[in-house]
Amino acid sequence: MKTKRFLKKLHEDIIKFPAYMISHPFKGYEDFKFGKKGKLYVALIFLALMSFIQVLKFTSLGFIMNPNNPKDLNSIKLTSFVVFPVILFTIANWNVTTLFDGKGKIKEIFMMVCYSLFPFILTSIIVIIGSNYLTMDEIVLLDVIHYIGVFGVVYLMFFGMINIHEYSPLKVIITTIMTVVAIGIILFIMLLVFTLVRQVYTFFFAILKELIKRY
Amino acid sequence: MKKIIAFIGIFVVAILTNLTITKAGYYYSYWGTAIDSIDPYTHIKTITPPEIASEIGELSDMYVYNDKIYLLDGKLNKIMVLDKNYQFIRQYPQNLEFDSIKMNGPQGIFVTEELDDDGDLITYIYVADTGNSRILKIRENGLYNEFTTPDELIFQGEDAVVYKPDKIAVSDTGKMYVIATGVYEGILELDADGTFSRFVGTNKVAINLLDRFWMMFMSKEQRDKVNLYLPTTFMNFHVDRDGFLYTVSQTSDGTGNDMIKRINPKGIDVLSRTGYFVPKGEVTYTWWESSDVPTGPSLLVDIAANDYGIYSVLDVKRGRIFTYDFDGNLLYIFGGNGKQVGTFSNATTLQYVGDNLLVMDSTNNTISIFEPTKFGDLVNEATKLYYEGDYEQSAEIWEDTLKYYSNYYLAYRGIARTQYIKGEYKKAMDNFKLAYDKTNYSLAYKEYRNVQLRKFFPIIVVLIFSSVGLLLYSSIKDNIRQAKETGRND
Repeated sequence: MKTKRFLKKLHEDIIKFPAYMISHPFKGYEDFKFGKKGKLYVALIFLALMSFIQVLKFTSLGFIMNPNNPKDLNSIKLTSFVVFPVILFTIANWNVTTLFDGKGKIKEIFMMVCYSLFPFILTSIIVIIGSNYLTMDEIVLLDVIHYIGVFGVVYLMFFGMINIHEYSPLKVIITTIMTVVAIGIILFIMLLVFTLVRQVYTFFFAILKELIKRY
Repeated sequence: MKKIIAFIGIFVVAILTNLTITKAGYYYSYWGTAIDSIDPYTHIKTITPPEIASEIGELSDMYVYNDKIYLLDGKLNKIMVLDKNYQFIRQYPQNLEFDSIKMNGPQGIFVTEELDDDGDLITYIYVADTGNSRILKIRENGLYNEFTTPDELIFQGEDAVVYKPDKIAVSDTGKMYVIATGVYEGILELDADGTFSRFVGTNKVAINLLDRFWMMFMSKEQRDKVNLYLPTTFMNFHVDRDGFLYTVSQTSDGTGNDMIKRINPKGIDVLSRTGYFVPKGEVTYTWWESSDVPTGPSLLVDIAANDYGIYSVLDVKRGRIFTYDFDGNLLYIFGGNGKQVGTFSNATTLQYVGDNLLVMDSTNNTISIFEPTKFGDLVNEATKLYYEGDYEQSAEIWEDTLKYYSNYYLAYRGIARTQYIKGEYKKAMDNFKLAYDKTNYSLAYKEYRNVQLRKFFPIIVVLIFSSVGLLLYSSIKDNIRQAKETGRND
């Protein structure tokens, strides 16, 4: 009985509520923020699922659609290509919106981004299964499904930002542009730091090498 | 003890057999990486200067016609003719001092047969006499005709270009095609009587975006001082049986995708580039400057084609020969620069003699003869059969090539095509997959899926109907129950 209740709760959290959010974005995000229906563990599951989907897409996409060399599979790289942008967007968006008096907390922004991946995960599963059973002429259908997924992500993120920060749609667009700029700045600073660290490292490494060679 | 001896024996045999495999060739995988391959051609003989003639300056061009090899010496200004056993027959001019044929640094030679007024076939030698700005037409007994600077605008006026014909080819209709140095308009097409008719196959000029951007801010004076952007000139060409020109030129945009062209009589490039890589010699190469590895794309200097659509290009930078079929699939790669026998230092000319390939080296003045190995023979044969439309026979030969080289994806494709025609869709799918041929795999899969669907269609229909029926039944039952309950409540 206990497991049944647990499964029911999982179903409610992971499938039913995100689906409800798609069909009722305003009501859904209200529940998400104030009704405490958005849960961190669900967000993390979605993030993990998204990473897993990326790996699965690399390995199991049908032969006709798959442009990847199976020898090049690097699951760490694929995972970081999912996780890193999400974190980057979260931080950049939080930085921008605190300046523009957004009401969202960093945890809420992160959860919002992860919940927004839900439609893309769904369509990706359809694409992966379908690509194994379709011919080249029918692949167009999967492209359409893929773009529906991408649209779903944008859609959920847009309404998410409206509701979480209590913004007007225009303000969301402006802050999104600002967020992109902020991401650029963050990346630039990261590049600087990394090159600096690398130079320091090579400097000390050279000293160490010299010491070893001398003694 | 016996075991140890046996082990040592095996070890020794292994080493010995390893030693007999001297140098393995390579091939490009679908992913563009170089993979080991079996040698398609082997070097059988090199003809060195003393075997050709007593005196040789610098060989500049070679042409093979009717089993005779015509060699052009660009320094001593003479033509040497060898027979099919590579023995010297004669030379033009017979006496360097007293003859009507006086050449000056000739660079190109072409030989063909034409009917004369009496209806006899007579062999004519065309020579691009570069230093004297003319084309010579020579027959057995001496000079037949000469064609001087064509009547074209670029050769006239104040900044006229000096006419320096570099390479020559003649089509079956008697039209002469000339590559001239310093002419950027394309290949000159001359009529049989030497009058200029037009330029064919002009290469495009490629300016990169950055240069174009800076050009916008330049004054006219500045712009005049910038280097001229000129199209790349043709390096060499080959006229095939149908009068199509196979040309090679340097890369104009760095990608090298238009280095090889097949120009039809209308002047349009019709080369088929349906292979996994555009025919351009080396597919992956390094830009990393180092002392022992050449950088950048191939520098193609010559092209030769045979009767069934196979053509080979010669890369002077790395001394390699790349062979393609009529669809633009890379068939095999061989050769290399070096100091060993069978390698080159400045390979400049490539010619087919039957299936054998002759490579002329201008620095060493040698001619290397390459003969197809068993593998090369099979590949040529299968391609030929496919070209002629005998798919079934060609598939059988592709099967044989796999015994020699199992990574050869063209073979899998050849086999799969025949299986597809025969209706063995599952097998065809597997082989198309091995060949990475997605388009044809899709076709085969479509047929296979149709067969499967037809086989399982009744079951699917039954399943669908029964599940729909079940759903209907349960919903009706629910409704009745609900109706009963509400009725009781009321």
